[in-house]
Amino acid sequence: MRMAGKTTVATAWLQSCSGCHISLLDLHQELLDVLELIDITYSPVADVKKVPRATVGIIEGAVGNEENLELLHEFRRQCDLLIAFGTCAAFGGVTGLRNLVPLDEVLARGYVETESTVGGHVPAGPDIPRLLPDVKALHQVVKIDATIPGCPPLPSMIKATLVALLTGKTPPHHTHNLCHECTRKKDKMLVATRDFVVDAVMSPHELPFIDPEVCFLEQGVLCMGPATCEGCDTRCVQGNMPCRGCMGPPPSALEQGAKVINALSSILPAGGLMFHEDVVGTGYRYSVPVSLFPRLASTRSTS
Amino acid sequence: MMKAGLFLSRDDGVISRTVDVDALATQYGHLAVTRVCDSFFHAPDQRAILDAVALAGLDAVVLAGPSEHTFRQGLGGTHLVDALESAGVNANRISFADVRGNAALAHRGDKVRATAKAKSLIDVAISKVEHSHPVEMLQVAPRRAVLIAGTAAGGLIAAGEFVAKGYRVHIVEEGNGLRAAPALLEALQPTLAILESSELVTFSFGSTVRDVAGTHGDYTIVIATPGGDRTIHVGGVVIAAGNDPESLRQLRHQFHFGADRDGMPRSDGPIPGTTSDPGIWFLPTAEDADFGATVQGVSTGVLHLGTSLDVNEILHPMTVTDVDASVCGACGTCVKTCAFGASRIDLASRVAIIDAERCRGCGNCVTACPTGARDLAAFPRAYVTDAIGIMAGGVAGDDSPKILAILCRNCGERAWQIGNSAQGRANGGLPPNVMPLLLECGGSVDTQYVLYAFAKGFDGVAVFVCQDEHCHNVVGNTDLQRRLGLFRSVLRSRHIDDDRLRVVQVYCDDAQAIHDELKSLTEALTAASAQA
Repeated sequence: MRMAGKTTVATAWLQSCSGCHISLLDLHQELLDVLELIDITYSPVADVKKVPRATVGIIEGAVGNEENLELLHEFRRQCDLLIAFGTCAAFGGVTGLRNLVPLDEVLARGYVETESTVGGHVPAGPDIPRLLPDVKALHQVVKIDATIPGCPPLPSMIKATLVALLTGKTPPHHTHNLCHECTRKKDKMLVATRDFVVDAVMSPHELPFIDPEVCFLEQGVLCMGPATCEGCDTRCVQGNMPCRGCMGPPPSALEQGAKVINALSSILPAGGLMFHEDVVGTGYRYSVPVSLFPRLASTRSTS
Repeated sequence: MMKAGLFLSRDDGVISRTVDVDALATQYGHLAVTRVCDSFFHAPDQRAILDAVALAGLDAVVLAGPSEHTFRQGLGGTHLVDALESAGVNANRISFADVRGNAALAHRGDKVRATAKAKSLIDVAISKVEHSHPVEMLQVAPRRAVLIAGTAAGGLIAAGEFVAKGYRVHIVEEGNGLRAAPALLEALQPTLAILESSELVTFSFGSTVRDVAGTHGDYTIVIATPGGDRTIHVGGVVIAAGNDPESLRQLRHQFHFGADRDGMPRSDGPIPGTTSDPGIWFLPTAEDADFGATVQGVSTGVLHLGTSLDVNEILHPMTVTDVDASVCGACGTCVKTCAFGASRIDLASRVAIIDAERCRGCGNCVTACPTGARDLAAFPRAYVTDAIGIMAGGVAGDDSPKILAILCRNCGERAWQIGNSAQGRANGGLPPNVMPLLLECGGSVDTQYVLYAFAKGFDGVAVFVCQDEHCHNVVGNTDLQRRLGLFRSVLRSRHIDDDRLRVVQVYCDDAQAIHDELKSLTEALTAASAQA
């Protein structure tokens, strides 16, 4: 239902899990406050065929196939403001991990080689949008006006950004790393000696007890907090799980993976980091398409 | 808006024979001043440069000619740089393009490529003055006191000279007796008589230096004596441990002076005994049986140290910028990284603080800081990435692989300069398909820079740093190895050949090691590209 004075909003999901839209619904009754201000004219849950003119476009997901590309360009044409909604839209996210593997290998693995598949083949045809060679974050394709990162973004973050934009204010902008808003106690991290803070790096499930009040790194748990932008209200950390980096790199970093290597090299024993954890999955889980590192893969040696 | 001037030297024909200097000059019309001269070291040319700087009110100067190293090593060069600084140009707004070594000599006989390479070297030098933060100065009122570390004959003579100037003198000796050569003891008797009777002098035998903080003019030094720790405050330090390798190693760990292959102190400037810290001098290690020669060996260094302390204030450059509180998250990474205890977190404001008294400007914390809250004033991150981009587009335009050579400012650069010298050229020189990038230390090799170099089109990256025990910054190599160890595992996990990244520790005179490594890397890259 359209009412005068409301801002028109169109939303879409591209290559994603729809979790960011679910997070929008997770505003619960607060969604009503937002709906006071907006009128959603196009969205995955509305049966509208063409993208109408809208003041604000909200896009979840990364650009992974030809249809994503077309819809994104259509949104850019039809919307005055475009918001990258969630980590995939902002940095490529988990969907961007496939950039680490050549496209033909991805398709073969998905449709032919999976253990439960018999006689599989890679589907193709005029109705099936082809995958792009590389997954891209939205800003790598079109101009983006605001970003709400997070996998998924917290409902409060969504509301804060939307309300700010709709009332002519500057949306929240974060420049610190997660440690800035983390309230866990630090002790060994602040002692000016060159000793590592622990002897070994462990996975959370290997530890009988993780002190919910003490810095993860000091307990030997790899936490991406130092090399991750703040703004998520440390929700995983409050759930006694280490940060995995979904808010993306701090603004000054060229990329998250290399930055975490630089930082953690003098904090945790490198051997533990190398052999215990998946370094690629640790540093690059959410940001492969916007990182420098995968661009090397195309030039990798044949050996 | 910065007013930058570019001065190009023909280097008395050495450069202009191969590089089209005049054509290059015409490409920088956008700068406030562009001028070609015959040599940076001739008095009339220097006057012309200084006049141009004053007339145009320049605040940034790019000198395209011989290397920065040449400027630092010769009095003519240091004179020009000092004069530019006196004229109001900030030290970090003076940069050098080594057109002589890296273009003219490297591409001898190939004017087109030499000139093209000179252009990118100049572009990089311009980027450096544009991005560098003006260096800020810490004001220190020098203390009229010195530490003589060791009792070699030279140290005792130096102590006598400082007592004569009215300085407080602390003489610290690891052993239980004088280190001076027995042959010199008789001649030393008058000096010893003065030292033993003077109230200004304290002898500490069986004692070692445990901790050093502070800068030229005001050091706080903890001495471990048999009676317990004692803290002293001195304006300068004279290393006089003779040629005892173990004592020198321990002292080097505290004072970070350069060393040669044998572990003996190595002069860091044109005057023998100079270290990288103007408040710390060392005396000749081989003590001559000739007393007169020993006295002479002492006097130059003592003279310089004494003169440098006889002033009201000393300005100490701050090489790491202030912490940006809008970015710092107080994670503590810098605290764990700094080998000198110069980083701490202020718990009240939850921001990192750099202790200027302890910071040695190595940049290791800049590399480690995950938020980019600090930067090196002279090698800012924005400059380094810009320089890599410029150089990737400016390497020799043939089929040979493009290599970025990252040089630490200490041994890496010295060895590179030797490779570029006439003697180095005679031994094969350095290959032309390589672009040199000077960084502060191995500890400032950010893995992001290596990735950026590959992403911008370099085929290989070679890092040349000091031998472990010669690193001024103690842990530069350690942290470089830790970072690159992880980094290599990232590359290998994606089947990217990590052999494209080489790290070599070189002695400061070992141009051959650089030559051999670059040759081997070039061959490996050529073979890999042929295979693909």
